[in-house]
Amino acid sequence: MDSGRLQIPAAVERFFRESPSGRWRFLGLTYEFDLGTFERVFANVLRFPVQIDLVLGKEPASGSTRLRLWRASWAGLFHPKLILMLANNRVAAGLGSANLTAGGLSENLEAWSFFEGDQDRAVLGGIRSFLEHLVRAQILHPVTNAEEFIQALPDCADGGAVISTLGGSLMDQVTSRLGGDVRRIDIISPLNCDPTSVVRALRKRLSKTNICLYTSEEPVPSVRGISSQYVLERPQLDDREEGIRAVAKMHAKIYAFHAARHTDLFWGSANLSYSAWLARGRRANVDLLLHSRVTSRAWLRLMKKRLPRGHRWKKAVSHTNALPADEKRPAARWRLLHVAVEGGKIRLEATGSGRHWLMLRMPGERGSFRCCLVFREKTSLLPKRIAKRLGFAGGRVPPLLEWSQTTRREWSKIPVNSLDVIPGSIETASLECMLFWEFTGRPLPRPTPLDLPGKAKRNRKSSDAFPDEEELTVSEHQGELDRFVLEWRAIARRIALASGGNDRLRRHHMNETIKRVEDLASREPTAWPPYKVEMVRDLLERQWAK
Amino acid sequence: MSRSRLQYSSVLPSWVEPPPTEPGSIDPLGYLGPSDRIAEQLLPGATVLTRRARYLSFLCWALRETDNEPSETDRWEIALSVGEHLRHGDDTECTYLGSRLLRGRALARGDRLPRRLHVQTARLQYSGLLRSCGLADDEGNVSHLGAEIADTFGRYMPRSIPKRVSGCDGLPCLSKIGDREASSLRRGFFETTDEAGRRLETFREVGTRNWRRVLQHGPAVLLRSYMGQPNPRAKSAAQLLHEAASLELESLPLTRLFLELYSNAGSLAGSVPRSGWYRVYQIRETSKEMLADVAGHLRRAAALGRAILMLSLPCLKAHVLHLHRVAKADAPWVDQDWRILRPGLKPQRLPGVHEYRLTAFASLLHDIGEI
Repeated sequence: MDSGRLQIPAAVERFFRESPSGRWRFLGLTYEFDLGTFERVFANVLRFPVQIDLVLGKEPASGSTRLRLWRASWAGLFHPKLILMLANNRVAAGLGSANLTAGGLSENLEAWSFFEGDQDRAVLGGIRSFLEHLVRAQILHPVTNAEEFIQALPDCADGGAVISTLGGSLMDQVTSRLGGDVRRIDIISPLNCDPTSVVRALRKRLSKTNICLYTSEEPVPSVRGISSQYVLERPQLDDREEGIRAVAKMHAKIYAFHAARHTDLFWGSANLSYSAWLARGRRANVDLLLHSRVTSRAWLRLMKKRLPRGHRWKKAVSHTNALPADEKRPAARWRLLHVAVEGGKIRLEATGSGRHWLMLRMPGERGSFRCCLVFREKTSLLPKRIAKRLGFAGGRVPPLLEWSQTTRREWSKIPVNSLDVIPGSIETASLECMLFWEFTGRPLPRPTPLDLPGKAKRNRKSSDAFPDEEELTVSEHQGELDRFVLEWRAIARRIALASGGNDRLRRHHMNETIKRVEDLASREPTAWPPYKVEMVRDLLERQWAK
Repeated sequence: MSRSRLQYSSVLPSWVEPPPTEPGSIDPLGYLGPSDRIAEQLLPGATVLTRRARYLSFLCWALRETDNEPSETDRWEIALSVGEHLRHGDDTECTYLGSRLLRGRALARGDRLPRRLHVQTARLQYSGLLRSCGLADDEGNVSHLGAEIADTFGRYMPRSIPKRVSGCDGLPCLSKIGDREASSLRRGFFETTDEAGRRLETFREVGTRNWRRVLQHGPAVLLRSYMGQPNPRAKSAAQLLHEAASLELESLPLTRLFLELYSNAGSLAGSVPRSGWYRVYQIRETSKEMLADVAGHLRRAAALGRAILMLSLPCLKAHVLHLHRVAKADAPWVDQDWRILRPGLKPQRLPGVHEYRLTAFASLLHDIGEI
């Protein structure tokens, strides 16, 4: 970005505003999440028919019917900050250090950028590899359908410009990417824990290098191996300029390695900590860094000249040896992640399998229910008796649930997601309605009764509706099978169009749809005899054109 | 992996900017909304700025005379203000709109009448009260009563807008209101509409003596007398005043506490005393005394039925921070750790109790000779 500053919600809104209607998706990966802030800041985006899935590292404080919230299945900290947007076959991604909270979206000093198109192929390809890792390691719930983004994102050899802790230790990956002798390292990172081990490892690999640390912690802690430290000076209290905004804290994570001719920047979500830089496997955080190679001048201009108004880096003398205590890490023990409600069945997803005694309750209520659940493939069905008492009766789905192990009595919140409602509604919809909404952002047209002899009253024609969709509204005398064919023909055409020229994406949509149909057919064999499934398969396979 | 094949981007990150917000430095805890709701029920139509009754007479006359032409009405108003300026000079006893601007300009008697003066003209400020008193309708048509007032007021007005400053000498003074005009305005305030009925109830509930005290000392003196236990059978005006009194017991100390914490980035020495002396609606400034006053007010508010939290400094801090983050969700002044996000917003004058339009209405009553 030329100005060196951006507003994340405005960029997201612009992406969807500039896209033709169809299948719109938003997948956000964040460590912390604040629903109130998200709904306020992204209010304009929430007005669009976008299906929003958010994968969180930390438990949410509240749940929503408009968004689907999922916990990542990872023993350590799930710490990436990534936004993926899809409009038909157009895809864009944003990554950086900002959580989807008030701090991340408006109060802290955060680094972020959005990427789209061929010029950002290396970054998008890297994000694709990262998503492939996440899917392979089963960190994301399958319903988040990250596979769709994988198919839409461009392929890139050698992992692209993005590195993650899922591909090995960041230290190894970063140092293997450095070109030329590194003379100085600028580290912009909050200090959430003792970074001595990381600094020592950097010194070991890149000897005779000055390491400058830029942070906002005060008093400035003393870190061994750091040559000089800078602290972010914020606008002073006597500044009478009303309306000036001071950043709450410095939360960006940027690592600049200066060589003779260029600067290698690694920026993203990884803090200067052992679990981000040195740990491997399940002990590591899930973190992302993007590799940019820029001129030193450009980097210094961003770091020093383009800071928010009234802010500057001030050389600091470390006053204390007291480093912050290590960040609180979730215990690697078994835990519940989230609940998915589909077809009247309430599935509890957990980090592992086995038999567990649990206490469940509605948030804010004192009365809880004790039950023993058996988790197979990390999933268990909630008995109807308990579900009813927890408030799932009559098709209602509470947005949040609290759980605790009977032995520990530490209550945690888990999001509850209803998979057979259109986002924002609470009424159960048929698979056809769901699919039509997912691929058009509109409700499935319904036949309107005849009010004049020989003439059907037509619904207001949507600007991008096809003739076969119109047939759905005017065929008063259509039989059940006619209607079935008309509906699925409209859906199949929309699926084909949403894929654009991307065959991989189309194949993915077809497979996903057939999977959902087959799931439904297995649950409701009377309503879905085999010939209907075959008919759907046939319609999906056809070549459709507008 | 060979180094030559590694890929990188040439994109620099950008700093995340907050969404654009309106600047604003008042009401950090969001108590303006509830207090305004009470004020609207007590004294509908009035505002804290509608302090001179004779502007209503002027507007009735000007609407009719100019055929509801805004620019001409505003020019007449400038002439009215200049007349007051010539009459009273720097004396502040007779208040009028644009007085500060006129004092700043060295107008000579031979100068042309200024074409522009204040932005918030009487036409804008008094339009709600004008309608509420039944003197004009939404389209600006003057009612029968309005026409009566316009006739009376029109006797003192020249036929055309004076061209020079000296010509404004003869325009009427806002303080010199005749008996007939006052009587008509009284009918407008208390008799014409449903809203007038509500004003009359409030007027009677407060009583002439108390209105005088409000005019001299502000609304706090009146609200103090409504701090007893509420009487469920009391009239609605009494209940509203009681509600206002108990709201102020909460809003004043918490707002002052927030501003103190804002100034000191969340740190405040001392602890909340279990008991102690305090003066109602007065918050002292040193931290120890402030905490005693805050605690005293909140205990009293709790006794009057307001839901008040545990009285400890951490609880109070968390509570005011929560109130602030809800009230200023778009542009908070401080973050969750009391780090200042928007410096320099502490008001020059520390806030007192809300006005509830009481002082302004007392001033109107004084103008028509009711108190």
